[in-house]
Amino acid sequence: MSRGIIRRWALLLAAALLFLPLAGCWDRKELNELGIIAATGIDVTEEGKWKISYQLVIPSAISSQNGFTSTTESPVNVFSTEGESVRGAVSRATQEMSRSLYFGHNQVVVIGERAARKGIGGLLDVYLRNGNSRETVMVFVTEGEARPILEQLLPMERISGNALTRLIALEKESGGNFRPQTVYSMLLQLLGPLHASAAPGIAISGSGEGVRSVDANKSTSTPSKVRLQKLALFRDDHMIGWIRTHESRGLLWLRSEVSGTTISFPCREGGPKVNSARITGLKTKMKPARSGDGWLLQADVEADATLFEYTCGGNLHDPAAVAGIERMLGQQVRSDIEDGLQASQRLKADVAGIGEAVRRKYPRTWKGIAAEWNSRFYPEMKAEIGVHVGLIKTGRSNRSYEQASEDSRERK
Amino acid sequence: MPRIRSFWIREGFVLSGAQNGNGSAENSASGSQSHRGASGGKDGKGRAGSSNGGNGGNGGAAKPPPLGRRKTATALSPSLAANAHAIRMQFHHSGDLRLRLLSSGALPGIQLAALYLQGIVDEEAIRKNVLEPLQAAEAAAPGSLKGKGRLKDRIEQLRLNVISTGLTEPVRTLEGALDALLLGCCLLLVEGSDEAVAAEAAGGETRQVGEPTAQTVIRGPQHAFTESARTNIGLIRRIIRSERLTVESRRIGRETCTEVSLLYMNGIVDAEIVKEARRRLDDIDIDSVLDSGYIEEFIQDSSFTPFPTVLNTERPDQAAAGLLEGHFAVVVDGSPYVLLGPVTFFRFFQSPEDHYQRFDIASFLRLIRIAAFFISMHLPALYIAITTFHQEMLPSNLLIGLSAQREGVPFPALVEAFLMELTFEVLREAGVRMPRAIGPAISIVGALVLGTAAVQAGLVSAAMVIIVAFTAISNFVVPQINIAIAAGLIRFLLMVSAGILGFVGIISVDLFVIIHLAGLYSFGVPYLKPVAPYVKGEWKDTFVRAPRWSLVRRPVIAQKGGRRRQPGGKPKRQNS
Repeated sequence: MSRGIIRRWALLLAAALLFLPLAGCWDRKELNELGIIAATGIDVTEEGKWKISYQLVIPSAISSQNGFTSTTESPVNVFSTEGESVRGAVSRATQEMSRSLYFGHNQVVVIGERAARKGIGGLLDVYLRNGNSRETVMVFVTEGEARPILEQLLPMERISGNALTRLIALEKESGGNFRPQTVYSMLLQLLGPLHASAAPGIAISGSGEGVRSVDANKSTSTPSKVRLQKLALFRDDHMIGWIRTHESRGLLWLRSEVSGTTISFPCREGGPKVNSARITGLKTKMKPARSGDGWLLQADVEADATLFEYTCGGNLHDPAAVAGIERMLGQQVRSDIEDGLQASQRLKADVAGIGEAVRRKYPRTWKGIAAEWNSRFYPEMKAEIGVHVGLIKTGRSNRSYEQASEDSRERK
Repeated sequence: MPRIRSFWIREGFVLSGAQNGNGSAENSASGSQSHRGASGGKDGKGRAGSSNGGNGGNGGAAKPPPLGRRKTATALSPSLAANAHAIRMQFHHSGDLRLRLLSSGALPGIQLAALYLQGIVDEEAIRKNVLEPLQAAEAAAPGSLKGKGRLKDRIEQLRLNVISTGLTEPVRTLEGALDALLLGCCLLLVEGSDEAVAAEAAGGETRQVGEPTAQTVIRGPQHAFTESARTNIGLIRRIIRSERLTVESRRIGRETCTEVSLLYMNGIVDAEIVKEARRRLDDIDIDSVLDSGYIEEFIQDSSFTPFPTVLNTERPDQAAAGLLEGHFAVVVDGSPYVLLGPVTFFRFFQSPEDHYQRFDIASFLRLIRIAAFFISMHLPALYIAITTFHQEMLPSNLLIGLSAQREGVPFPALVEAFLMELTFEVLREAGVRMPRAIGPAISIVGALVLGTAAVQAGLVSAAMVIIVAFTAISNFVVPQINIAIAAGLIRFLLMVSAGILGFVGIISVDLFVIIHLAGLYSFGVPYLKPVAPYVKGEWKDTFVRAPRWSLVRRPVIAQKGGRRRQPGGKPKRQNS
């Protein structure tokens, strides 16, 4: 090896070594220097300051290092900081936390109603601007304060923050009343043409105190639970009101975002809803049209249904009986959709994205009406909802139990 | 009577013929070739030890030709006593130099002396083939021996007709006599003659052919090379019974004078590669060759790389397979490891067993091996990078689990990983060096150091133990230990850069390694072949192995036109 080559290699090595001080390990963080945050709560205090609550995971209480999980130590710790701005409040955490807060695994942000009504623009900006907090966190809104939600322990779950994401995912899969709302999709909607969005509501239901101590998990029932209920509607950057759970479902149907839900229906109109069926494969076509000065929404909803529970008379071998059930199911779906539309029209927030359909179909006209869509055109919009539900499975029996019992009596 | 070919090739000290069991025509051709190469090299460099290497025909040369490693050439004296004394003086009266005086009926009244070095000769063979025939020569000798011819002619007659060892040679110089003795000949001095006779009687204790210890297979031949080059070449030839298998021998090492043989398949190997290998072997000027590793360091393309460019094997079947694929082999006397070249990177992940197992199993195992190689290189670095820079990548529950384990661990992940990796390297080295008798002790202690005890003591986290253990196991999946250790060296580099830069560090080191690999050659063959440069036909036997019948062509390193192995085609079935 000649001296020239050695020189060249030495130069190259020196150049490579120069990278090291440049990098300087500045974002190196050992795992035990991190305070892992599982959920964040956003509140506004009486004085109008931001109050941020953190659900801090305590790994040693959760990890089953010795084969069993410790049940005496609380798996999470909740604490709050206050500040004039969101990040200002977060930065105060260093005054009371020995570890740097790590938001990379924060999956849930719960917004208190007061904070939501005040405006979440500042919060959204924090998520957009900073790399260490992810826009994929799920947003919930709660009546009252956010902090009690974080303090609430869920049965079977060690980290309630993570449990909330599973709760809402399961609700979307099977319940069909709510869908997960992330900061990212909320931003898309609020910064889109409609400036309206929604987030599922969360509340502590049940009587008595919140479950804040691990001791509560020693009994077979817990006095209170976290529960998804109601939908918070947002326009621009602040919350404008709540709509009810079945109205939320109606709006999701309009957006074809229900993957499956179970609905109850009566035997005949006006009767008690004693039967139930599961709706799957729902598809909605929205066709907005002009009608005079205002707008008309023509929506065609196609869905499949599987019969779960049936107590009326008649034999389901008969196509006419099936058609009757389909009609009843259709009515239920239609009424949910109409309720949802009316509720959102009342609050003047087009969260179902009908304006988006108008914009696509009438791009020129939209430019003129966009500014007033939520406030003037949307609330006055008429709707014609056509629903067709096809009953694809009636289950393993054709007749209801009552019918079968009657038939057997006749045969005697 | 055909003239017995000389077994001295002066420049190289090759006891050729003894090892060359090949057709004589080809043999002599290769012999003279190597001779030419050698003298060419000397002319160019003018090395001290062999500066006066001249032409080495021995038979009819009147003047004794000077020998390669000797600077002088002293003619033998007609006096037996003087010669014996001179030889003894040269050996400083070493105890293993044996001298036996005798007389032969064929040379009545003339004193004879047989000299040999005990331990490197087969004394039984000397007794049977040299001493006894000489002593009994009178009765059995034909009449011509009793004639009054010149003493020289009579000795020549003795050499040709009476001494019955495999090879005999007249020796005219003191230096030649010394060499003959050192190579295991019995030297016969005759009173009144300045010409001695060397009779080849190499022998001595050698190890039996045993099972491979380092490169084992489940299915396949279970022979391993031994320390005897003669045995090793025999083992290869017993697999390849073809006259195309060529053996070129030479002696390398000023003091050790070790026999080094270059083996290749004529017509399969690329002539350019053999020429280059021959040139590199002839260029070696070294005082000793104790193992094929000495030779490897001289003939490899690049010294400053962790990646080996010469493959070593202790398996005759692997050596034979290499020869049949167009590689050359270097057999070094005294080393049970035979060198194969040229080799490419992916060759190191091929076990001979790949060709003995069914192709689907072999392909799967080969992919596992390649994966294990990259795991053994990257796993600790990935762990460090992910846990100290990219915690987002972990599932939440795993993050919490790892984080709980790290509670109370005093060191950063990088230090922790270094500690454990070094511990493992020490353990492994101890496992190789320790006396067999204390083996169990090492394994007990090893389990303590690299196990739950270390975790309970709060030195390291449990996850790190798993990472290090899995890395270690992956390391041993690679069939060639030298490339596995190369992976170990790069692993430390990766760990440091991962500890400083995270994934960016890992990727930059990987890029360096890839660039480095792409710049390596082995005897003119790009190291990353057949991936870069891309060679279509060779993918059948690189990452996977195609069925035997479809491997019709040899790898491209083989000679052009000599690459077709067999006609090819799927075997026909009668009932399908």
